[in-house]
Amino acid sequence: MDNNVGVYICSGCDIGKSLNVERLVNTAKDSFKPLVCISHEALCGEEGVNLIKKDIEEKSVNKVVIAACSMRAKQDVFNFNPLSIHTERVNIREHVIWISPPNDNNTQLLAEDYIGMGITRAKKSDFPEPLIQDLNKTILVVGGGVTGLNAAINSAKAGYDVVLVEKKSNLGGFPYSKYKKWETEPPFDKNIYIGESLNKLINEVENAKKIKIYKNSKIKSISGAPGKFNVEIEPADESNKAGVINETIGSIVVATGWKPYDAKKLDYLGYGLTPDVLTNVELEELYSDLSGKGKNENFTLKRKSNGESVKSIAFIQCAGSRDEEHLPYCSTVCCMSSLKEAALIRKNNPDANVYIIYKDIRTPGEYENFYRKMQNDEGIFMVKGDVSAVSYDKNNNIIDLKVKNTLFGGDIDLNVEMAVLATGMVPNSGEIACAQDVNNLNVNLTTDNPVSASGASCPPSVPVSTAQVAKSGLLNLTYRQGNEMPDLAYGFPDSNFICFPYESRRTGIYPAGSVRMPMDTVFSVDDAKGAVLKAIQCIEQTSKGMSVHPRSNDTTYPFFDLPRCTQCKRCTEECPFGAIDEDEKGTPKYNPERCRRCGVCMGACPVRIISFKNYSPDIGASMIKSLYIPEEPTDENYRILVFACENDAYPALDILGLNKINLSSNIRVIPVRCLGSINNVWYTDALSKGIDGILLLGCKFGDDYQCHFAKGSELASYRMVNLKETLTRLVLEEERIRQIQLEFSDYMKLPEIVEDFVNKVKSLGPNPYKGF
Amino acid sequence: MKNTAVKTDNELVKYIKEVGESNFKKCFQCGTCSAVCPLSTEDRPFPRKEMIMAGWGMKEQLVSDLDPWLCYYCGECSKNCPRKAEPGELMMSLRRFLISAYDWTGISKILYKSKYAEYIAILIVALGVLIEWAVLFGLHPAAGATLAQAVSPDKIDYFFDWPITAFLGVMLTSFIYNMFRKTVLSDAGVKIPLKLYFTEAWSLIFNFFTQYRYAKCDDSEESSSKKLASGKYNFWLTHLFLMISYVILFIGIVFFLDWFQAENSLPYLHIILFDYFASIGLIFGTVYFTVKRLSKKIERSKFSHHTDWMFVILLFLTGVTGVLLRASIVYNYSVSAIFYIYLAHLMILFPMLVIEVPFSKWSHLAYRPVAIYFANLKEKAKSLNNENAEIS
Repeated sequence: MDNNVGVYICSGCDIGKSLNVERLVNTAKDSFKPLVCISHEALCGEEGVNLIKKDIEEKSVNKVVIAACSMRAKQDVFNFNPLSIHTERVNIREHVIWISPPNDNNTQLLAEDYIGMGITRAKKSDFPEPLIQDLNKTILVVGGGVTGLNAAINSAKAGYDVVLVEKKSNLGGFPYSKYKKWETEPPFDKNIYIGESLNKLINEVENAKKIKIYKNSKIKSISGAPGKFNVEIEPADESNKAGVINETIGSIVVATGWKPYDAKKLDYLGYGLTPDVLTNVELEELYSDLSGKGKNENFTLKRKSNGESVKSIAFIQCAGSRDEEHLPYCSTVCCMSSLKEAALIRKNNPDANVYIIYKDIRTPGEYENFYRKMQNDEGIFMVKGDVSAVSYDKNNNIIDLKVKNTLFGGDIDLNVEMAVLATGMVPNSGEIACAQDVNNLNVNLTTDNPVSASGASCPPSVPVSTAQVAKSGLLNLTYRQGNEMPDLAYGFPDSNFICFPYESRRTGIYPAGSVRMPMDTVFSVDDAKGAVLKAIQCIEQTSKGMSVHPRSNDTTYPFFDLPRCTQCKRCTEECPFGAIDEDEKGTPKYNPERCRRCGVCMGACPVRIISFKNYSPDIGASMIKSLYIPEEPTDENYRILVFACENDAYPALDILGLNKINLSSNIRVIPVRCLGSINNVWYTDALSKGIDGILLLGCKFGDDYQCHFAKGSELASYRMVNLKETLTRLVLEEERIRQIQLEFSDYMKLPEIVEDFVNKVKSLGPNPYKGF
Repeated sequence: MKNTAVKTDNELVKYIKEVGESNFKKCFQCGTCSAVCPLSTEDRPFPRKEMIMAGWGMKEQLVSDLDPWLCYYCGECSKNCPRKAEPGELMMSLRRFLISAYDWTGISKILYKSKYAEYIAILIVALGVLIEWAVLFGLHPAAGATLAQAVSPDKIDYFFDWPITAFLGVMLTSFIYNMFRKTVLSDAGVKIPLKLYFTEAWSLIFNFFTQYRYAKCDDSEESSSKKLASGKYNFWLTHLFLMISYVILFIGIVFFLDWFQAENSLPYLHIILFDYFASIGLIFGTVYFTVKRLSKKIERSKFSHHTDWMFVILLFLTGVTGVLLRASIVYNYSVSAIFYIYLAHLMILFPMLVIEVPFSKWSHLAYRPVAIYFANLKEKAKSLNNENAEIS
């Protein structure tokens, strides 16, 4: 491959006024001998761009190094064919002149180092070879409830074939068999029986030509990758002798919904004392029976114990919800459903007193209107408080509730004929394989893991050191990292619902509806559409060889130099997306379609056999080596290497520049795909080169992580533990490396963070390896 | 502490809803109302407490509650309520409820529930007056009779004034005793020493004649003179003026009816008192409140129940016909004219007295100072008990 490097230094945007551009050109020429090296006063103008284009055509320049603004700016202008031209953006505006004093030697040195690193990277980079394939574009929808039906019909409408798998013999899911009302439009105070619209939707799905439906079926296994999943569908009923059916699938929407929390665990709320204590789901079922499956709206609610019509009923909200002993989260739907049920009782049993005992009423948005309407009903009594005891007076057939912390200023007793426990939602995201299975999987159990949603004493979330999922029974993936999507917490599939809704940590598999987070039917309808769009995106991007979120359109992917592999399995364990399987010996089997191009595997590999065409341990090391490290131990000669995550930290630095806030000139920033992609070799290279300190700027990790690759920044911090041994061996202080968790909006904290670290390093003194 | 066994009564909730325009069920107990109330104290966090008791229909607690009478409806709570639940109006509704709760006959409840019932009741009393009048004096004055012959003041006294006074006295006393039973005697936690009833009596008299708590409705830091100048005391003073005028006239008519039927126009004290001060007070006061109720600009007058209107209108008409009657006597109108004006006056006055005094809005004149008196009694007794407990 020809390395025809063209270096173009822009002097616009005050770069020319702050730096000696001529000196930059000369230094670049002297040090790197590029084919072309010129400066221009406005590279992003038509003249400037044409200049580059002319060199590409006439001088066959194929590595374009543009020293100008941030790589986040002018992407549409410096837009050359990525398959034949490598475009390297060197940020001498935001990261140099906007944060440093003008016409200063240190500023000049900073710019020179950045240009040097840019040229080095350009020289070392190859052109990506996208994996363009003819892939299957069928969408598999798992679950035929409200979410699943909407996902299926919307996929079909968008022109995609759909395979719908439903465990039961009928579509319609949870609401189908319940007396379920559906408030579909603002102000959400009209209770429309769900039957009609649900049946319409079911008919539509059943008659759609593009939708193939498997009822009474479940998934035996899923193998492969997006665009070529092989799905084995088998009868849900084991006595059914029908064979296994194979389907090839492009991407998957998981709409398996929820199941009610096991009320048997709520005996402290009186469940089981008398048939008159029932759950909200059981009440819905009772309504369904009484109404003749919704045919008759006028029925009287009667006590299960003696068949007399109910005169007083209490709803106990948050029954086993928002409770560390049971479900620690809010299921969002119980408040509305209890209010709705209360409305029905008030309508059909007009003399009845309805008590709603709540911690907080949560009726978000326009649902508030419904709450207010119900609150104003003279027969509905809202009780803020905690139910402390439930007892049953057998002689009078009365349930006695003791309520603590009420707004009456004390505890109260309530005598009711019926009590309804508003139990929460548990996601249908697979069952946890317990006890011996867990031990076999060698999962690193931590003691402070929250209790899982289904109540099993197994860890629901996966510790960072491993990515093994101890669940099965739903998708039954044949992935090396386990059978199901990893959880974030409480059994919900990992999906940072603020930043990346519908994403799971399995590329091409998108959870939607109440399996993703608790939600009601109205929200599920929209959720289905969102997940379908994600699924379509995945199929289309993957068949073009492009990555999906968050490195959308990236055509590179890691290359494994397998002959040198030591089968240490770190890459297969640490890949946040389970993209790498392994054979019996432990050799990685990489699935490019599942890959998100974060580079975590590259960072993990101790023998450095994993690399991207334009991003590799070697490229990083070479960039570090290209830095000029002055030997004289003065304050301005300290060199701090900053690895900045491209997703949050790098833009934060840009914004700091935009605000023209000065930052220490001792720092040299290298953008990385993710902190998880930093290979430990870079630290040792940098320190032996004479770099005095290394600062890692990356995303927040932990339960409310913001890492775009879920575990990258956490892995970086985890790997530092090993690094400390290396430092000790080199007789270097471990304080020379520091990781900071940074949000994009934290940019104003950067000067302090950098200043603090630079001072710390200065207090340690210069790197003793300087000059060796 | 023992748990309160809560009994809810949605019939009561319905009734309280009917007798006012408060959305008290919308309350979510934030407590803003009690925090902004200038009169509410830490021990008596009204109207917050009443909001939840009403929302729950807690009859037992509501009936024994004196706090609605301690509220003078400045409206700060309603203004600041985040749910627009109108706590001020709830206190008003509760006063209506309490009037019907103290009334053992059950008449007030009917009058409060239905405006037609009130109209009919008033018509019945007016008709009764007409019949009684016809029996006593006929439907026409005898030709050539003097006023004293045509309408004998003695007969008015014997057949109208004194029986009605006795009736009202018995009714009101029995209702107040009922109130005493429900609010003071029912409270097992408080034993009131006999001595206190006398030492605290001043609060009854003081509050009756000054309605001083009205002045406390504005707790801004301005000086009283400034408040007076900026009209912040207008409502209180007008109300006081009206009330004093009413009381003066009532006493005058019951005990000194002769004076009213005499043609003296010399500036005696009673002439100044009755013909000028009290007449102006009655008419000015009722017009003032009518204007306020029509304009609905202040919280106090935003909502008007039919009993409110009836009370103001009857009082106004009583005043107008009374002044007309007095003028016709002083200016020597023909006896037959005076005869009919007199009849009309009584046909308005007596429904006002019979219906409004014990069974409707008028009764607050009695209940308010009595409630303050009872509340003081209970408070003093409690602090005495506490002191004793500390000593022992």
